[in-house]
Amino acid sequence: MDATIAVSEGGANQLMQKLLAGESISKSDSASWGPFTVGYNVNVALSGGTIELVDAPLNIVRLHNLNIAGNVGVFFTFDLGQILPKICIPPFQVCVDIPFIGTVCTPQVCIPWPPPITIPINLPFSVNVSADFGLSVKDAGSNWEVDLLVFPFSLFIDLSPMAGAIINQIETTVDGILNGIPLIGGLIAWLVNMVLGALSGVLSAILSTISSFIHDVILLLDLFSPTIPVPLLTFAKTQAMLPAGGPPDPEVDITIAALGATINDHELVATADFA
Amino acid sequence: MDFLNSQQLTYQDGYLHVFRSPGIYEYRILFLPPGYENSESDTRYTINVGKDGSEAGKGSQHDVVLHWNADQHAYLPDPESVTAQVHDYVLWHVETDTPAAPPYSIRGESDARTVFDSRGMGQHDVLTHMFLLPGEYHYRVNNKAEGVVLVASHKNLPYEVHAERASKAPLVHIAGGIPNPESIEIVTGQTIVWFVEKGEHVTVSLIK
Repeated sequence: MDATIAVSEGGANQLMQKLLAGESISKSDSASWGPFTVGYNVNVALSGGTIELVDAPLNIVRLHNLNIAGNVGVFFTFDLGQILPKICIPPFQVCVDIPFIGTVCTPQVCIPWPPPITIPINLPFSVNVSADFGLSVKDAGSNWEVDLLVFPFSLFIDLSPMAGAIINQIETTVDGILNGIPLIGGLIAWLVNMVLGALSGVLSAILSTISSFIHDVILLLDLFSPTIPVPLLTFAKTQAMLPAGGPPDPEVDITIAALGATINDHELVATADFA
Repeated sequence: MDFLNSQQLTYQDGYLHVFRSPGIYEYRILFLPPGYENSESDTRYTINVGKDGSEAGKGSQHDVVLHWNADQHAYLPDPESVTAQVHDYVLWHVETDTPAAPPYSIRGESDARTVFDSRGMGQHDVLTHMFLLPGEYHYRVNNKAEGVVLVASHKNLPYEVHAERASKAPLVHIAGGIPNPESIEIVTGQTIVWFVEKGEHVTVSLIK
């Protein structure tokens, strides 16, 4: 005896959306580039996408236009004292005539740069990808599973367009800090440029590292792991054939001894063999 | 708000003493209040004052720059020793890019007798303070008479106007423990000079 269950593309879409709802991840890391220490926290979630069922012999579940979206909370920490030179104010001598003493020239004050500053910047990202999944059946103890296993696919996250936003944020913050220091008004633009110049030497490396990190985080999702099958359908091996009628009349069960899965006429077809 | 206390000098302060008599003076750079000298480093620096000076009021200025050395927990003066003449004056101030360098004081002796002490300024001693933050600074002289420094922010001033104002250091005379003028308006980046015209053991400190 056997049984056949077919799932349409619409049904497969619903199953996939349920699967995607649980696919999110958050990871963080940090590294240093010269005077800049950068912490980054990546959050990723999946949504959307449509399923196409490609018939045997390919037996492919093709997911179109899946949206991978999230944001990176980036924290730039740096010590202005490691970038800017010593500056003493005022840049001119101030002297005053004091009776009984003479002409006294007041001392300059060398600016102690503030403690390391941290500038948080949020970088949202969103990409649409398409991916193919193979079908497999797995004996999972008391259940049978119809699993998806992704084929290697291309995923490219490019944060380089965010460079302008990062530079603007850092420029604004540093400008605000330096504006609070008296008598360096004529120097502020120069000093801000010193910070931006130091950043420009490492910014593309920073963005590249964060992009790679996002890429790696996305591949940590089970759905995109080439080694972790993701269950799309699950069947209990023991199925109730007849419900219990009372103490002398127990439930009658049948056991699914084997399960097959294939795609025919754009339907996912599961065939169960009963023992 | 800035920290302002003549007994505890910071990198924003300067302390000046005029040498009226020839001789060899030794000074120490201290951190604690009077009475705790024995628990502090006994490192002494020398000021040799010759007798061939100019007349009073026409002496020369000698700057001693103190550099904070965190490893030694000490300020190291540059130059280590000063050669001056009568009526010359020495101005001590800190040059550091370490914001956490601790406040200090200067105490000088000659013939085992205290001659000058920034913790209690003597006649013709001078305290300078550059104000870096805006605010209304109420201070007391000798914990009694009150003075005020109104410090406006430089942020809304064109740089040239700001620089022009900062090129002037207003002078406050202290005589008999009374500051004159009692109130002064300045902008951030400007230095106030307190001059002890008459009095001994004079202190200037903010009212908390």
